[in-house]
Amino acid sequence: MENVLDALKHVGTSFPTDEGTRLADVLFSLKIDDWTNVTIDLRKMPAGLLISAFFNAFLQRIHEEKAERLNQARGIKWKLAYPFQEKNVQEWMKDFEPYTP
Amino acid sequence: MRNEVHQTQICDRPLTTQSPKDLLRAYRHLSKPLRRAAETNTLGKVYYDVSNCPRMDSGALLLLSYSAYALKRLGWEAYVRGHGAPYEMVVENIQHMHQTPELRKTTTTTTGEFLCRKVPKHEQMVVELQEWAGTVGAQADAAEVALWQMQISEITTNSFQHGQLVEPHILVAGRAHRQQKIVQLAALDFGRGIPKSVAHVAKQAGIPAGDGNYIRHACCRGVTSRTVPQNQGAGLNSLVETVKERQGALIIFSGNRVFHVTKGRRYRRNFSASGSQAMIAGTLIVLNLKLL
Repeated sequence: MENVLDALKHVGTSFPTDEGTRLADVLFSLKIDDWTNVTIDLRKMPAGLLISAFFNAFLQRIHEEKAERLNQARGIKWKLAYPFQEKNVQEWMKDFEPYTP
Repeated sequence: MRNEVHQTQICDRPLTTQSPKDLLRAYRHLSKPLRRAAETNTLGKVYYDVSNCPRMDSGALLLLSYSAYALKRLGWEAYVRGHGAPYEMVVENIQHMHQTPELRKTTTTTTGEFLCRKVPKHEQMVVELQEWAGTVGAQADAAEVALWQMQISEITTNSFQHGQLVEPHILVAGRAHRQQKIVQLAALDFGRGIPKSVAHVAKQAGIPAGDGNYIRHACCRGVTSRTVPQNQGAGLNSLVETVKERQGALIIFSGNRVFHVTKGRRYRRNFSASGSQAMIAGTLIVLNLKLL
């Protein structure tokens, strides 16, 4: 079954890294076993929020909390308003390298 | 008590930032009173007279703001006077910048201007940029505006993460010219500058010393100073890629160098006058893109 998460209900409009981290925490709180069936709808979020820092913060949080689920997180489907965003997100998901201090 | 000095800077040439040469010319002209003020042990007022200035763009408006704020830090005051289009542009932008947030929210422009605004707090950045992008009205379609919003947000996010910013932190301005099919977006931060932020990682990577080399290195994919763990070095590189795709030009002025990226994938560094002191304490980024 597909799980669609409307980001507007869970994520605010403060700094992109803070909101990316918050989105990851929301995902954890939903206790979904298989993230490959998760779609996150970002179409109503401001374009200024959906930058590389937002998505990198999201993946970094996943890595910090449950590193073994990082690859699953990379496979999450995103609903975005514009084609350029889809292309960017695809690249950022692929390029992300987790940071361990 | 020190004597008060009055300086008038006659701006009788185009003040634009379409190319590195234009930008440096505008910077040198607009920062002349600042240099004079720094050399003297006086307080005073500077009047920028733009009556005979044929044109001014958004990047130059931010350079003017840079000089005005730098003068303010020296205890000086800066004023703009004159008449004509550049004068009206400056007044409209400055008035907008100083409006209350409630009034700013309701502003729309019919000429495609992204009126100047301060982005003083990182947690308000997204909302400020959303409102800012909204002011352009019908001069571009929603996808274009979203792309610009994203680009400027990449810049301002970098500034907040690396900049150690001082008042007024970040200024943004721009203009979409529907008929000429171009848009110019500019962001200025009052921080430590890109060269200082990336110097340590650039040295580790064996990059030859120099502000231009460091800015160039910062624009490469995956280069990050790791100021925060989430950094992946995608922000500036995303601007470079957009410029290449959209046949535009990107100019980054930080420290002592101007770094230029064009549609032809040609990187160029323009060397400033010698001297160890940074010409600009902060970073000015000007994006010139074609409207599709």
